[in-house]
Amino acid sequence: MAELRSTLRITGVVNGKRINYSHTYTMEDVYDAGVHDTEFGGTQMYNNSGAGGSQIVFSQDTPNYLLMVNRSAFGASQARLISSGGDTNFNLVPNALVLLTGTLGITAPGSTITNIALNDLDGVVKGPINPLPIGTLSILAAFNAST
Amino acid sequence: MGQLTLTVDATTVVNGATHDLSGAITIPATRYSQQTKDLTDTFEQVTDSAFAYLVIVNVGDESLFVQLESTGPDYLPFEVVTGAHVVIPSSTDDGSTFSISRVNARSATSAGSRAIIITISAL
Repeated sequence: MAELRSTLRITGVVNGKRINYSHTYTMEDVYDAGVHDTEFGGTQMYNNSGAGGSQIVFSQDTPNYLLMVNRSAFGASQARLISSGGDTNFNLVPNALVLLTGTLGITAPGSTITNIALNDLDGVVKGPINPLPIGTLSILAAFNAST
Repeated sequence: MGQLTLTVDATTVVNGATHDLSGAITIPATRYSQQTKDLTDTFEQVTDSAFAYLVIVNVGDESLFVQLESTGPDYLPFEVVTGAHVVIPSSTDDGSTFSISRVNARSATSAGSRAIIITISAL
């Protein structure tokens, strides 16, 4: 099976202190992946014009790696993560990004402090943040067999 | 005062097809904090709410969970699988008003895990 390589970098200067941090994560046993917006691939994902925006649906399994990027340098985008246990919204300013991982789920909003049983992610709705100009949200989802 | 650029590059080739996505955001940063913390299987506070971006790197041997706590209190837990990193902006909510008051973390089991916890604060 395939590998996914994710490289994180944080660089710059803050209060006279130079920062140069990097980390690489290799996710093994990747059996499906796709990028939505520029193209969508994978047997598990399809586009659906759901209410409130364009929706990508994960029909078979929950992603184990989810990278969401607002590629616009001007507009804002909301990524609404849909699951049976409740939705989670990421409100992304221009160029903002979110990266999540998970074994059996992605998140589980709720009022129980001890809960770590995350919900299957059913899909992501890409929507505007009215009345701001709309951004351009791209999503890379990857699925591995190590669960 | 300063400036930080946070970048994630991801790429994979599955059945001959390349899937890649990159993102980079430049943040007018006022503070950068980085700590290495050993976690147990009980949620404990690891940082406060003063961040624009939260980055968690799992350098331990099992999954860990990071939890945004709001003033409700309500909770948004996320998993950082072994060896992985996650990037979470503060502009996160559960569909209703969600004012982050603190961030908590724990390991998946009593075996424990180790995390690098990074916060970037902005203007």
